[in-house]
Amino acid sequence: MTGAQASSPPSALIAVGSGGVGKTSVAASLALASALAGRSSLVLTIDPARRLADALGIGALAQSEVRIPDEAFTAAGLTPRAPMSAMMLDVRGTWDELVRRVVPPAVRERIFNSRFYLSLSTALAGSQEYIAMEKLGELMAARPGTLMVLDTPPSMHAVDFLEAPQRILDFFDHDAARALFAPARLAGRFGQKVVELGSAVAGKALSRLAGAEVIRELMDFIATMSSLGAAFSVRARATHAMFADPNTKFVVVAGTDEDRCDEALGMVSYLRDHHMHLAGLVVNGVQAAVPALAVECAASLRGEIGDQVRATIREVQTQAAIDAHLVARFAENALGVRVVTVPRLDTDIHDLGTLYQLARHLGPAFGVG
Amino acid sequence: MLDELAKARLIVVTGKGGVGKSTISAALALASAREGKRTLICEINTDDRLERLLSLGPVAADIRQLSDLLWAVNIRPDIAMREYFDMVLKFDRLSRALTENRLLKYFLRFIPSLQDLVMLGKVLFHAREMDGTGAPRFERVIMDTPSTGHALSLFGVPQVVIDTVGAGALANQATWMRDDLVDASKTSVVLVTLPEETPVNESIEMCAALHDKLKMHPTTVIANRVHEFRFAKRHLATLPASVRPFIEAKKAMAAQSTESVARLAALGLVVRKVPHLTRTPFGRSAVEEVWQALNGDKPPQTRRD
Repeated sequence: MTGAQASSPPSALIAVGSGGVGKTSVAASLALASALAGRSSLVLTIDPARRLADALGIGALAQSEVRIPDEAFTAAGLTPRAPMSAMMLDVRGTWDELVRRVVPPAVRERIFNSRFYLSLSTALAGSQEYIAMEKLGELMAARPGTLMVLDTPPSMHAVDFLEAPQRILDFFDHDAARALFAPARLAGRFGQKVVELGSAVAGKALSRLAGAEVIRELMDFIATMSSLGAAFSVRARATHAMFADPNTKFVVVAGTDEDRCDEALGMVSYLRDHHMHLAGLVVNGVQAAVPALAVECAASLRGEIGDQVRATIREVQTQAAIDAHLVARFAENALGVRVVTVPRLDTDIHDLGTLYQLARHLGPAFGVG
Repeated sequence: MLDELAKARLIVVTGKGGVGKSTISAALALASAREGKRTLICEINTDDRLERLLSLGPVAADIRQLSDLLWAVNIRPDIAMREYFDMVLKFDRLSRALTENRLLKYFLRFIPSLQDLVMLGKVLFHAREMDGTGAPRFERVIMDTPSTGHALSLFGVPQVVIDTVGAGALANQATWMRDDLVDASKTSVVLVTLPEETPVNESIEMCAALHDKLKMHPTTVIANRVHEFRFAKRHLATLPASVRPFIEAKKAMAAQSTESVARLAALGLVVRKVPHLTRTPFGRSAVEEVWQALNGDKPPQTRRD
């Protein structure tokens, strides 16, 4: 029994990390490891690469859960002992569902038709992250025995992900909205409302920026949304609780790019500071050292071929040394968080077989296989 | 400067996360300044990389001169917002009202992607800015696009604002911003990618999205970290077992690079290659090597004019 397995098994794993480090692949391979080990799993992704999406069978299907067929496993020479599913998050669709659940029918259409809703549900900072957590919570409640693995949108700072629920909440339940929308206001006297903002100058400024009609619509939209503040607040509290649960664990994914090392370490310390549970830090794409035998052998080769072989081996050795140095840096600075390395693959992830190349390294380390 | 980018006032360097945009941006900026053009390089709200890549001193939230003809800035949203209001509303009392009145700040959150709009707006502003003498303040502006979120969402923000807000100062700004972005005589787009299957797929999609959705004009695609290797098959068989896998792997990577470059050529853009360089630390001298490779790699005749 390894150290990882001795602690409680996760109910959810949340993969965070910068763009381009292989986060989605890591998330999918954790789900695979789980299924191979006998525990059903679901990987929820946001924007998977086409080949990985095809490998998982999700393709263009947003929001429907797709079970990975047995044939995909057998084709890769694998035997699943539990089912594995994949799902692509549909941000707009989930917002719509949320509004339908929380908003009384009379008000729903006004929200759906508002020009601000259209952009808010997709362009608002934190929207994707908030929706991902909503969906995760919904799935966890529905299927308590299944391991949920969430792939998050790429970002430089874990704070974007963790603060998203609160930001969305601020949106709907802000002191400002409450102050503005006292009972007397509902008569819709625009000029008066703006004066309440503090000065006629401020009101003029807003109208200059966006036109009086738009400001009027915005006020109406805010009034509508802020009346729902309490309901969203309940949901946001549930999300907070999910983060705090020791069975919700974060996996920080890093690549071998020296630049992004600090970003990954920043995420580790941020998560730590906020008392989140860290399952580990994955360094993806590490070049293994060249065995001594190969080096000696290359040294003994003659002629142009010998030169070519030595040059190639040297290139690999240099990369391996760079990567080893980076891994050491992670290990020193990861505040005691387990550092797991995954070797560089020769191809991208395009089927379960290649996904398994990651899964076999990650499963045991994360207590999922 | 690369021939196809020589006339551009604004060069936008795009691509997915981890492909080498900052390195390419730095290389282009150094070349531009060396050519005698007043050049500004912009990062967008990121952990700074340009200090290490350019080795000309720190890059900050205000525009700093790094060398005779090179300036740099790491654009931050709060400062860009403040500058925007100062400029657009043209007097301080109003600008202060907007930035300091917390109720107003609350409203502004509902304007979609306002932070993105003012940061992009700052880049575009400097790309058309004139000095007192009627000459451009910066003859070239190079923008290192951020890799977070959807790679192209930043360029779509002006249109979203136009569609949402419709009238008023914000919409007016958003309109000229969009117009400058789609004007091929003003803005050139460089796509950076890796010569591997998935990154090439993504570049092809990105190129299509740039054309079809954003009406922008990619000029150049740069395949970064290209592997080249020629090793005769007959010699492969005679290699000892301990070294053979390494040679086979390198050969396979080189084959993938070749295939990737061929697929990129079908985009009809100028294709340039930068070889895979294992350098540590990856700093100024590595960036110079990148430039040598970019500049020395004369592209074959392409289908475009």
